[in-house]
Amino acid sequence: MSKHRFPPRPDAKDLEKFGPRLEVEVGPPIVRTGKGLAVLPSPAAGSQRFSRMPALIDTGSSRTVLTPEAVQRVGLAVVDRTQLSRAGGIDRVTAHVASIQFPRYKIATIEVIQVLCCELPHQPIQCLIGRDILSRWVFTYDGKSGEWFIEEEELAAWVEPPEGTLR
Amino acid sequence: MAAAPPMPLSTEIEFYETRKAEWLKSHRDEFVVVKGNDVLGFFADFHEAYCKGVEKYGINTDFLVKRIVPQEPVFVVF
Repeated sequence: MSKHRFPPRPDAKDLEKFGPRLEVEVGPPIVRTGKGLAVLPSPAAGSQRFSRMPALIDTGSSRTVLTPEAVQRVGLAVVDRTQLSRAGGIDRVTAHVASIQFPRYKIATIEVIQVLCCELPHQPIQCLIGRDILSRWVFTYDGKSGEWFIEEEELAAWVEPPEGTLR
Repeated sequence: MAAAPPMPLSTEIEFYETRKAEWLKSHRDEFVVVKGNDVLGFFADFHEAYCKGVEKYGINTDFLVKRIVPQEPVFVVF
């Protein structure tokens, strides 16, 4: 079990105001063939292969979410359309497949994960890390000290999408 | 005025809806992979379904990977 401590200089007020945030690198899914080779796509016109962005750990989000801008920047293919309930009602959104890396930390890369695409208005972040990713970790939030921690056990790269029904 | 571009996977989702009742009887809770009106197959989990789709159609292509369930899920962001 490896334990990662955030942030470098804990501040309880900052954590209260901004929440637990970290930098992630989003890219196309890393698909391995039977020979163990990764299949990486060519970047589409106007897109990058990988893009770094700030992310917020959001225990209120059942799935990991990217903004349309982030999805477009990386050029992620669509695999489904689904429904997303949020303040203001239920939206129809697209689902994409991505990989997520944590470049500044020794947290295992998630090679294949389904992400939902929706606007995150009035927030300086482009990614919500939802409970699908949190299901891999022990996440500890210490509001008193301003620290938070991620502990992970193994390096499994795949996250099975959870049932997404309202309950 | 130019027509709006079609929503991604419109053909596949329409096709899925026409087959859903039938598939619920034989493939409930499995993941189906559909490209156009072509059914690649039914798979036990998303990862397997997606990887088979990439092998067949390529990683830069949109194709549908959908779990066959009676009621479409509603995901939540608070």
